[in-house]
Amino acid sequence: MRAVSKLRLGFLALACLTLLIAVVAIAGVSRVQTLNANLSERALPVLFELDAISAISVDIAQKAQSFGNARNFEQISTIANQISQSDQQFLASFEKLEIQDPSLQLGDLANAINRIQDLTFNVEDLAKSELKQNANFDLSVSDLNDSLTQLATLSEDARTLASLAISRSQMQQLDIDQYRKSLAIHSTVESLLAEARSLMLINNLQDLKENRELTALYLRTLFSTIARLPDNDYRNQISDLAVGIYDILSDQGIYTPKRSAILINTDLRFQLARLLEETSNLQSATAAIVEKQRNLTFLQKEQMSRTVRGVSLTLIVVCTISLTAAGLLIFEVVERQISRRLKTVYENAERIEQGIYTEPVHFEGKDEIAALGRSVDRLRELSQKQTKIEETLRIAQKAAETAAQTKSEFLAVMSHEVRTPLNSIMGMFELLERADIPEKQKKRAGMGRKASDNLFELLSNVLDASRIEAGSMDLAKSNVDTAEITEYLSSLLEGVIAKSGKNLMAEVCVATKLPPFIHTDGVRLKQILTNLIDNAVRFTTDGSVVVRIESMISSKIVSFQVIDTGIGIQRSDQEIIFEPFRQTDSGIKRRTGGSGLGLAISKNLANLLGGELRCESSPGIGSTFILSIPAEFSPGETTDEK
Amino acid sequence: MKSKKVLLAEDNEMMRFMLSEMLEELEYDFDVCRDGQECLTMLNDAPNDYAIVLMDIHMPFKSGLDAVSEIRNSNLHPPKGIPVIAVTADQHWQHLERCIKIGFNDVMPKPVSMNRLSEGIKTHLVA
Repeated sequence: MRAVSKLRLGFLALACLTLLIAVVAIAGVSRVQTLNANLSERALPVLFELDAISAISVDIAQKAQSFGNARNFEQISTIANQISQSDQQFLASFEKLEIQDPSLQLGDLANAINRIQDLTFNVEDLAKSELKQNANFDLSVSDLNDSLTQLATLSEDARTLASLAISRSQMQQLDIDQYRKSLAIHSTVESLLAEARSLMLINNLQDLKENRELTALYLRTLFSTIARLPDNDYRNQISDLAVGIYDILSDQGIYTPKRSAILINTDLRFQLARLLEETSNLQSATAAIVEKQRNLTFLQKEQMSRTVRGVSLTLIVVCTISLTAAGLLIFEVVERQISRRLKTVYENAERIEQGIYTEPVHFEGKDEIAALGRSVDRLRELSQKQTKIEETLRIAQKAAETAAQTKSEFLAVMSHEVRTPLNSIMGMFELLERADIPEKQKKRAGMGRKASDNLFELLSNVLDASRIEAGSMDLAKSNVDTAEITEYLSSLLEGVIAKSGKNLMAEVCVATKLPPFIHTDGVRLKQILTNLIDNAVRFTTDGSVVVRIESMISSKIVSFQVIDTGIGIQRSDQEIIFEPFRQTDSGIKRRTGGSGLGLAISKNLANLLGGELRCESSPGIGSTFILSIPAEFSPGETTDEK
Repeated sequence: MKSKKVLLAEDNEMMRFMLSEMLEELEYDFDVCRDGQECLTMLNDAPNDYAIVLMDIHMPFKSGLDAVSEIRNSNLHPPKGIPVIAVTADQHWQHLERCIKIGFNDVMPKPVSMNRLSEGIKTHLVA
């Protein structure tokens, strides 16, 4: 599997873990939300409603308590009516409740309130019936009042009658007894009126009942007084009225109190007691339910906070596990699959770089790192091969260098060793030429000398060439006097032309003002110029050889031009002539002589002096060789070197 | 001019012969020796006999350089200041410079011709 795929797999697993965390988080949050909604949308409102019901029940109970303070049936009736309204409120609130919890025993509550309602109605009915009796009593008292008024009228009549009787008796001197009777009736009626008035003061049934004995006494006194009335007419009239009062009083149960009235009163008390008890029960039951509901809500709250804690804990655990797993996974992939193997590859490559060829690491697998490892292994093979090749090359190079060195040394030694005997040969030929011998022998000796001269020149050139090639040509720079050089060139040119035996025009001309000195190697400069002049004379049969010296670019370069009117050089040969031994190939050499090394050496020397040597030529017209060398002169140096 | 001699120090037989012939042709009186040691001995034995020395550089037993160095450091008079001309096949400038520094008055590079020999000796004898 590729390393990238491994990484991808690792990240995929990481993504899955993240997803898992997210799912757990969402589930936890939704659970908490459900609980919270349940609590805030259901439990709390229910709690509030229950609280309201509880308040109503307390209200009912308080009202029931207030029965004890009631002074009369009207107040009782009003309170009962209020309780009845509160009962209606309670029922309305109760029916709105949305509690299905059977443990709350709401049914009991409903039964209790129903009972209370029944009791309230009973109490109200009883109170009302009492009120009605009172009303009847009031009516009776009114009647009694009327009767008593009649009685008073009668009494007044009786007194009038008595007065008449008295006056009649006085005037007619009638019966004194009659008079006394009339007076007695009058006083009795007076007391009767007083009693009736005191009866009329009792306008309350209760008081009436309490004053029953007193009233009966009054009535008895009234009857006995009436009975004592002397006049039968009066007596009958007043008796009728008294009987009427008695009847009214009897109707009102004053004399014979009816049993039912007593029963009603007892029943009312009993009903009130029950109502009080029931309302108290209701209050406590409602309070209990509220407490229960409160506990329930508290439990729900507890459950919610427990759930929140659980979800948090689960999330933390899942996160920790996931992160640890992801860390391990990435560590596994990066460290073991990539880093460690890359390190192996790196160390392998580093060993190769240091040239340590240990056993190749055979990488297994198909991923990039394994491929890289194998590439490094291949690189090792190539590098190993290359090192071997380099070693071979180094040996070969060393051998070549040694060979070149040996060759150079060989040439130097040979040149030196050959020079001494050659010098002897040259000297001997010279001596022979000067000897007193026949002309023919002299000429032979002269040829021998020339041949040995040429050989010596060739030898010198070979030596120079080998030195330049070996890089051992050292320069001795000094301040070379330009006037001296000019003079040297004049004599050299004349000498060479004279030696050649040709009839050539020679001229050394200084075209511009020259610097007084050139800082260069005078010997080598002369060597180059000698070579150029030699060549010019050699390749020119008639005409002229001119050496033109000029200073260019503010005296920083001095150029020497050797101009001949010789055979010239083909354009194609103008580069070749500067190559060693190339002259021998061109065929020109055969007619003119020369080592074939002169121009090559001159060009190399010109380069060594920091200048250049080039050729301009037209075949058949002539050639110009131009040597340009830097003057490199500074006045302060004039006395530094000789 | 005849009173003083040229002392020729040269180990190579052919060169010695050729140079002797040339000196003879140039009508110089001269003596010959084969190495530096012999040269020093002769100068010691007859310090006033020689006017100039022609000395090869590469010689057995004692090279020309050593010999000149000894002459210049000796307390013999007049040989201490005698002109010594080096004859050498080595044309390398460093070599020539070294020769001058060590005490040679002049260097005569090979090939030595009659003209060069004559010019070289004349220059230093006059001086």
